[in-house]
Amino acid sequence: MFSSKHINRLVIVALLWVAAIVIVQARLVAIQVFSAKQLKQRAINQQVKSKDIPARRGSIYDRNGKLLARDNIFYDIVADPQQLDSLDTVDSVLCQIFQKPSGFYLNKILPYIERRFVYLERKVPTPIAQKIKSKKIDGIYFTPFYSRSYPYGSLASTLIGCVNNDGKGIAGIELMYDSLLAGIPTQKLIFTDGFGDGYPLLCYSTGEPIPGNDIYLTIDIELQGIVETELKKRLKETEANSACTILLNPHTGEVLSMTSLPNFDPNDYIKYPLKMRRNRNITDPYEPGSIFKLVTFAGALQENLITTLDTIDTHNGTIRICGRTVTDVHSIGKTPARDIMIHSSNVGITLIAQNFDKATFYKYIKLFGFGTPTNIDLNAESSGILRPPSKWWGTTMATLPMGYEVSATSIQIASAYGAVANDGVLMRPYVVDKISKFNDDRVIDKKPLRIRRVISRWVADTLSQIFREVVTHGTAVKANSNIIKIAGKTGTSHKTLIGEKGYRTDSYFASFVGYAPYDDPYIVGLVVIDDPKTKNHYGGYVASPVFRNVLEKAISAGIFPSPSSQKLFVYQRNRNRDKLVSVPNLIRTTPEQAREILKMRNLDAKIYGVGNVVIDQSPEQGRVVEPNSVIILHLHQLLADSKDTTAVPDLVGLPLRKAIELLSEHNIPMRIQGRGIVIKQLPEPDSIIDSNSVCILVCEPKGEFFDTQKTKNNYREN
Amino acid sequence: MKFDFGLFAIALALSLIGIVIIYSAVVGTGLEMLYLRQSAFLLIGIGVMFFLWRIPVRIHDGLAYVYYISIIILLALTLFQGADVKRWLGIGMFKLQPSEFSKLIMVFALGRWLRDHLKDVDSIFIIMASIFLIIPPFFLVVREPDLGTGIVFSVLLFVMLYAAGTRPLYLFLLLTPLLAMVSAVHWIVWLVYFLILIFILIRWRVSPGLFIGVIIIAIFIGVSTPYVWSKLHPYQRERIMVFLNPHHDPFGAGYQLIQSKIAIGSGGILGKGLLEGTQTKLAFLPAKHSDFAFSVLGEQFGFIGTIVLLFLFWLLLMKILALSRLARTPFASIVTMGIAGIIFFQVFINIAMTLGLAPITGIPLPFISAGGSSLILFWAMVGVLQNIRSQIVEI
Repeated sequence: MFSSKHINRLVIVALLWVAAIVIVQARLVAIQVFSAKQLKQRAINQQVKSKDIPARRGSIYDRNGKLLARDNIFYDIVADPQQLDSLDTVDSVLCQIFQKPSGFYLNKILPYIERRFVYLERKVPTPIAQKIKSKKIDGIYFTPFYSRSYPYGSLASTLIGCVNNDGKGIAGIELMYDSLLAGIPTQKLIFTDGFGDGYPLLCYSTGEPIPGNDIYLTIDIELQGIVETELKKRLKETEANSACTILLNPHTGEVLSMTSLPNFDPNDYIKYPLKMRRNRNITDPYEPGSIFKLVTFAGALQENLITTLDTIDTHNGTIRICGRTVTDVHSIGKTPARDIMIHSSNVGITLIAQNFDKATFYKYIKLFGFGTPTNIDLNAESSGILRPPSKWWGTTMATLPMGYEVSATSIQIASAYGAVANDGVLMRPYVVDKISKFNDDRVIDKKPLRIRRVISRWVADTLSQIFREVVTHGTAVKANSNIIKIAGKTGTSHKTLIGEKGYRTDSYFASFVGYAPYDDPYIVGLVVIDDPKTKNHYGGYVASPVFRNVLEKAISAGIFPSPSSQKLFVYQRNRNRDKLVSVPNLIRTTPEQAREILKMRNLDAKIYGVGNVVIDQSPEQGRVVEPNSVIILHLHQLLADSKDTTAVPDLVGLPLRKAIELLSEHNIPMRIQGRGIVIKQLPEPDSIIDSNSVCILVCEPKGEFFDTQKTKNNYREN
Repeated sequence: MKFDFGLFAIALALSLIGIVIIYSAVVGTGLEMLYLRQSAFLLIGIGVMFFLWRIPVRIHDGLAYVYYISIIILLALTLFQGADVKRWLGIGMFKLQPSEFSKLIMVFALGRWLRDHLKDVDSIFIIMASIFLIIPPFFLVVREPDLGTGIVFSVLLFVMLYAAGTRPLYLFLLLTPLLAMVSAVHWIVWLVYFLILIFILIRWRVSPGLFIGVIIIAIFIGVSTPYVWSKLHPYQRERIMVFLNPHHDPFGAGYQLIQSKIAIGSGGILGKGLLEGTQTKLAFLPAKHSDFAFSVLGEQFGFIGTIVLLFLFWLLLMKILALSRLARTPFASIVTMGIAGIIFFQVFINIAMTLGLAPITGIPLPFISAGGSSLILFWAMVGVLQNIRSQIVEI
């Protein structure tokens, strides 16, 4: 047995064994050394799942701080069965809170008892989740998520828009300001086991999510409610396809209300077809018809081509001009030019337009903003269609003056009439009033933006007189109100044939644009009704009553001032007065001192004259103004009595009372900012001042040097 | 009586590594009692070793066929149970796997048979009788089902015949049916194999009777394999397919292999550290405390850890082979070789399986994998080896 043969066999077996080890070793080198990096990555990929922790989306408010859209927090309640101590306790606690038959949650957990993740309840509101949290049950976890709600439902929905299921804005303000509203989510890394279950305990997050910014709109949701009620009523009565209105503050361009019907409920947007989510005011241009006569008439007045009293012969209501027959609804014969507007004579306006050369006419169209987007802060704005004169046809000068061969959006038309109501200055319309940053007192205020002067003040005034007559005895008598003096212009335009050249004879846009009160307007509005089925399809009949009704109702609701108190009415940007600043007394201060004081109150100075002392200021002391208003200062050179000079004592750090005593002893007049401890003085201690100078003391309440809000309140009390 | 402390120390080190691996694999999963059980079985195993150390091998030589009959009865009893998987027999509070112990019994039985016919190990009758000796236990364990142990029996047969001195040509001829089966995947492959076979038979001048027999078997298996393949259990086919291409079904059977490779590979050179194995902890790794214990080791201790483990096994095998050379009786020598063969095969196949070099067969890693019967078996083998060692007369 102990032969060499046997030993040879042992050697062979040993060699085989070594060979096996070498094979395994080689494989280990391949896997653990050369593929290690890749396999490590694979391990991480399959073990760690990242999950977004959503950031709360900013809320949307109206101009008065009424909530229009907000993210509500909800919780999914999740259990890790491996960590649950007593299933019965969990079951009894939850069953009591959710009023389920006992054993309900037991049945939910038991099938997954080996797993580490079971949903117990979904979309639980915060108070209930808090209640469960307070019971402190091990193994129960809460996954927060946000769900957006729109308390006003369909009101202003086409303006506000909506978010999709992922919380991304897909229409309106929600889309336009998505990046500002959205906030910054963070990620949570969750270890997942071989069954795909997350381990709630083994997770890391990359920091807290940063909530989005809040947005305040310029619209007034109460006014919006009145508008939508009226417009819906009218839409139903006239059996029209759709309707739009815009209400603007003509002096600032703030949109106070914007409606596009039919609209949708953003809480449940998926149920509505896409076209109901469209804000037609912005996206759908139409041929304005007679409303456009404004441009022709205003241009002719401005260029002195006509006067309002020039007699124009409308030839029995029919004329052939530029190869086209133009007719009036009612013939008005020979008439002063102003009556052309009052009765909306097509023949008359066409005749007036013939005084223009094409370039000048085109200039006025452009000046009023047609053919150019208004750059309102909303998505998908159409610029309408306006061809340059080089592409006009022979008949264009016959049709363009009365509002055909041009298309415009509601917002363009409302802005153009806003220019008339604003003494001839075109403002850019806007819907976002301010953006308040999260965790930051900074508020981004949107300022009104003046675009350009379109017409002279006297032209605007003249037009206002005429538009007033349109309402009192012209085409828009239906808009005449006993309560408020409305001015306006009607329009009725044939709808174009879809896919063909030409116009439909049985389908119209009926519109009315107006403002009020005509002599000092604070509101300009446009009502467009698409394809009314009423027998009388004219804008004066169909659209103008809506404007009147809205105004009257808004006045009786206290949204707009009643005409008796009208002169006192200033349409405030915010009805809360917190942000307003009172104007300090700057008389006898030096210009440097005045600037310093104004800067502290967020006011700007504009200085007239030359001198060393402020002798007059406007507005005067104590007036309440908006931040960043300009205060006008008049300077005068006062010669000082060189004998009467004093050195200013050091007052910094003293209580205000002490400082006043000290300055009184030195006979130095003073101006005091705030109260408490003197933190700053002007001029500096030990500077020599003369009898004309004053000393300015800046004070802050004790221990609250940096609480500027408090200081501001104190200013106001002063 | 002499006691080989080196052998004991290696076996103990391997067992302790095993307990650490099992602990790290089961901690936090609710199966913590597994590593305590393993510790208890280690103590029993050491006791068994000391017991067998004092039992002279010639006793086993004498009782080999008694053992053989007993284990066949036990294996048969195992099958008379209601469970789907019939591997365990309850003895007191512990359940044991007779199939594990049958490995050592077969070493004794084959050793006895070959020792008795040492002069005729090249005769067809003796070789065929050896085959018939393993057929009853083979079918009994495969019925359990425990294919792994069945494969171990087959390998054991080769190792023991080789140790007893059978011509390599005959061992090769024994393999020819298997080779014919594998080559039957495609008729061209089978044809090539068939021609090589004829060349070998002529080159080494095989007797005409054997020649014809081998050829007939090769043809028969070549033809019948495709038929048998179609009769296999789907899961059996699946396992073979997955071995050939693990990405074939990444969430089914191939899942285990891919997860095992990710675990071992993500350990890198230094490993993730004890209890830091995320593959293990997060339950991506299947059968992590038993068949895939090596993967758990690889993930936590990296390349360094796997090299240390392989070195210990290499050392163990070398010591056993040295012992076989010095054994006093042919029976002891052949038995030593058989034990070496079992350890060798199980270590290689288990590790190769976790690395994707061999199909997943459920063969445990000696001394390491969780399982009382397996641990006791290997310690029993160490006990037998200790006795053989103690009888060597130092020159």
